[in-house]
Amino acid sequence: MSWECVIGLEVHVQLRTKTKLFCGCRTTFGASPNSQTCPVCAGHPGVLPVLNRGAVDLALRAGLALDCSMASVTKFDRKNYFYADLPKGYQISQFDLPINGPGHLDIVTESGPRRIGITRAHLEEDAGKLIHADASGVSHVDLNRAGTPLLEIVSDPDLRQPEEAFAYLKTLKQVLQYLDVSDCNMEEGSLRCDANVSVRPMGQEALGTKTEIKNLNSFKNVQKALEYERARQIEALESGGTIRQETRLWDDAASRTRVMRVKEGADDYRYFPEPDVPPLTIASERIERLRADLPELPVQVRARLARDYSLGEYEVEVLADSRALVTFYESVVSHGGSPKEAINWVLNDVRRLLNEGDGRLEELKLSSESLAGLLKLVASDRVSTQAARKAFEQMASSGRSAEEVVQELGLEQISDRGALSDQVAAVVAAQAKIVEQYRGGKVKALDALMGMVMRETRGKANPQLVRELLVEQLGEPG
Amino acid sequence: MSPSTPSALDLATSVRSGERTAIDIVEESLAAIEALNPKLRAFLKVDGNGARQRAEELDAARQAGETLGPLAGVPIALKDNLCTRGLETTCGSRILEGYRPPYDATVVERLRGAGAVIVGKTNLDEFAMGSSTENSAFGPTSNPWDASRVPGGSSGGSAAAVAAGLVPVALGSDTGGSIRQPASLCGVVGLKPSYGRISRFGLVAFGSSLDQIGPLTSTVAEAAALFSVLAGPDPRDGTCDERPAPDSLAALEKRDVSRLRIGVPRAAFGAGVEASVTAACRASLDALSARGARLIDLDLDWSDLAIPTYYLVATSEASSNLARYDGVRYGSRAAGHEDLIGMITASRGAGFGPEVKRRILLGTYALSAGYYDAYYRKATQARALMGRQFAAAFEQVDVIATPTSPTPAFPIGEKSEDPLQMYLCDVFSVPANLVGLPGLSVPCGASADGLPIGLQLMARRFDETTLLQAGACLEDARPEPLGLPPIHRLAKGGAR
Amino acid sequence: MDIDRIAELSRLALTEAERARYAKDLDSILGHFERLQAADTSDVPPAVSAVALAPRERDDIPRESPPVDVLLEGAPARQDDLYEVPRVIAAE
Repeated sequence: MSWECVIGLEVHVQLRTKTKLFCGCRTTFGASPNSQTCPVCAGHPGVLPVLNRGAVDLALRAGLALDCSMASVTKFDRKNYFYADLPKGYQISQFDLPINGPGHLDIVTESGPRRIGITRAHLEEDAGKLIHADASGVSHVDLNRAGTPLLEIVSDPDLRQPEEAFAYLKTLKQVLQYLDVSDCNMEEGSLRCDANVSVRPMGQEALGTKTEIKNLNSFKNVQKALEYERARQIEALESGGTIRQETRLWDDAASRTRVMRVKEGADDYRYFPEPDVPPLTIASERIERLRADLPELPVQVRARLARDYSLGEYEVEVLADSRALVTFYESVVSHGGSPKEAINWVLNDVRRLLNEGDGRLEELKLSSESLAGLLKLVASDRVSTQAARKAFEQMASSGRSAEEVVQELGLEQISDRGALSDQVAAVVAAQAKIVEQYRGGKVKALDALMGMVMRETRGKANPQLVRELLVEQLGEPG
Repeated sequence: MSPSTPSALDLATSVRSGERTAIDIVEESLAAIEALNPKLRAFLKVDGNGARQRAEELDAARQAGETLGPLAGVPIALKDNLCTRGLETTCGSRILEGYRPPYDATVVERLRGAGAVIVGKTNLDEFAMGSSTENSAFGPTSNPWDASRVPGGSSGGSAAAVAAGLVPVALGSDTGGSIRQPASLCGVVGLKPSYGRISRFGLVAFGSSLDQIGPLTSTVAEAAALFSVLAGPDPRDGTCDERPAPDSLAALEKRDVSRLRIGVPRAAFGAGVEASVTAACRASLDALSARGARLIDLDLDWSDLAIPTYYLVATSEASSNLARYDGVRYGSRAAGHEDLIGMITASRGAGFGPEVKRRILLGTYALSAGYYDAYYRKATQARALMGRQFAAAFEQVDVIATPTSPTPAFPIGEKSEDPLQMYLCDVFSVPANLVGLPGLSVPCGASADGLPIGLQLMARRFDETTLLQAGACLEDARPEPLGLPPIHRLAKGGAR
Repeated sequence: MDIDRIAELSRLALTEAERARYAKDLDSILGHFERLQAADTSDVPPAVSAVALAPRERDDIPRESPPVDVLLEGAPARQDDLYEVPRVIAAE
């Protein structure tokens, strides 16, 4: 029998607000424990939540990009459960009137483009962090993360392949980064993903029993876990077994999923409307204003890169992977770098710098303007490509301009015809033997003469020009 | 305070003019508390040092030529579910014993800004859950009119403190009658403003969609003055209305009893209401009528809906609001548990008293899978239905009058074993909370054995001005003032 | 009603006597509340609050958090700047 896999993904992204969803505490990652908490997010008696307008705007912005239908009224609900990292004993989330209703995301898979349904994308607050027991048998709680705004984006069960899930996540992350609604940094937890997966005989309408997989810490692991789980479920069913509805954890070290210990009793979150946060009416003007502010999405940017800069398909794909890199590239071009040269430098050299560092363009000392300056020096023959590479490294480490670095390192090449002509003449006069060989038909001898001129000029001569002058002075070989 | 308790307004005037000093007034209040509190147990905590320090600051400020606020030098007591920075706030519960809030409630800031001097925190039913103050983990408060009886609740400590003259004014909170009912049983004025009028920031939540803070005072004028200080928008409470506080005290001058249309629900004087209560309320309404007010009978009858609706909504919200008391971040933690869930469960089991547990269980049940629609959701629908009924009634009348409580103060212990009977006593007070209306209890008479009886008035949402005007008209019209509670005679004989 | 289940959801440790007493109390209270079912609410949308409240939103402007000690000094147990709790033992 052949089987079809059915996958739905729940993605939590941390919205890029300055403050928490319901209080004014900062959301800076990596702050010292409990330094970003207050009576509100620490759940003290008597405090009240007040909704962050910025989080609402970011959520709506994401909803617009995902073509979600927008409710004119959205409300918040309490999800009740006890845990040490949940200060109030409930999480403020959204139950039946999410801020973003059904929408979709277009992805490209190996078998072509696919449209994946988005069930909803709702706002909720994050929990704190429970640091699990050490040898002494106690755990610790840090509430810095408690109350951070999250957007939970739930896909329809439209994905059929683990690779599709990978493509969906990659595309979703790209869209959210282009929108600047989230860092989408999985290591820092600003993007988290749970997967629901089931299998059914090909052609069957009814869905099979699904399992939920948690603890997925990279897109690659999502794909691996889904592949594992698909195989596990098919094997179970083919050997006459059944699938139990359960939550499973991805064990990266063992490359397998395993059953998460079931919480006592079935969950009963007792959702009810949050009385402290009145239902929010979203004015159509607000949505229109946000729509007008919507930045270009990846699809649009790709088309523009191909059209405006005549970039190839591969170049577009790699460049557009990062919105920041696109901006950097376009800035290099706007400062006078040639599109063709700029793409090579950006895709190779700038990306290498990013990989060596922490991956953030804003952390680079190299500015788009100074890179453009370097490209202009190359284009005007003042710097050789080889010297430019040297200059680039220096610019990247010092943050100084191309002009300064080239001056300091003496990298400017000699393109003065008169001056070079004398140097060439001197070499030709001094190397009668080699000149002889050349004239005798040994074309390679020209390279030797060139090397000598280059040495004489300490590598600064414009090689193109040297060759030209040599040929001019020696005449044609043979 | 001396038995001829001057009003808070007179005190503030005398402090502002320099006729009296704030420290002098505060010392009188502290002395009265010292003399009478052992018998009444109205205060859980007296902040003598803080109060004296604040009073001296006020006196110094006046000396320096500063203009003092409208409540300058007025001693005030706060129900112990209002957060005071650094000053223990227990909600009458073991689970919060020793808890010192890291912040002040908005109302505390506003009172201080107006020049009031906080002298202490008053007793209450644990987490404001009760109608008698017997549910306090720290023991019951006595009614100043009869120490063997309850002061009502849950703001029983505040009501008793004002009735006994320990402080001229106090704050309480009202989720289903917790200001008005003790005001009625202690013979003082109690105002529950419209939902959204006064910031709830710093009021420890019981039923978030029902809770309001309000004053307990001797006169309607004092209630109006406090209301104006407390009301108004607050960026820390998303449910607090944007409208600025009206000058309700000034508006009292413009009261005109002849333009008042008072709705009287027929059901309000039916079965279950003690005869003395019916008689006192009727007499005061007749007195208003004699002065020109129009009495209009209403068919409005919420007797079947109100109690189930209220108790389902309030306990559902409470079950969630009280989930934060888990022994993790503050409050008391049960010792000897090596696992988290065991610790949480044990801390809550040991920290909460019986009525709080009962209500958490009831609310949890009403929200649980399979019961939500029949209980919580149905109650929210009934709540909307009541809103419609009241809106229709207010097309014909300006205020609606009922008894505040079906009985005068009852003996301590009489109802504490029968929760349902206790709940049913709230039948007149809960609608104002469910519908968000302002409600006011004004003393209107006494029973044969001298126990105070209050008349409740309700008005349209945000029409506290009309409500307070009507209350002042009732003060003008009522047969005779109640005089002073017997506790003063005890005190005079017993203390100092 | 399943008092054990409700107590568990409520995270309340109750003695046998308490369980019996609350089960009885709740039965009697809920029995009285049955009269609510008679109310015709077929055309009434539920009201979370009795009143329509104007939504209030806050600008995304940081406020300084209080010093860590202000919040942690009242903690039943702490280790440095962290709250300390017993470990989580998941039930089978």
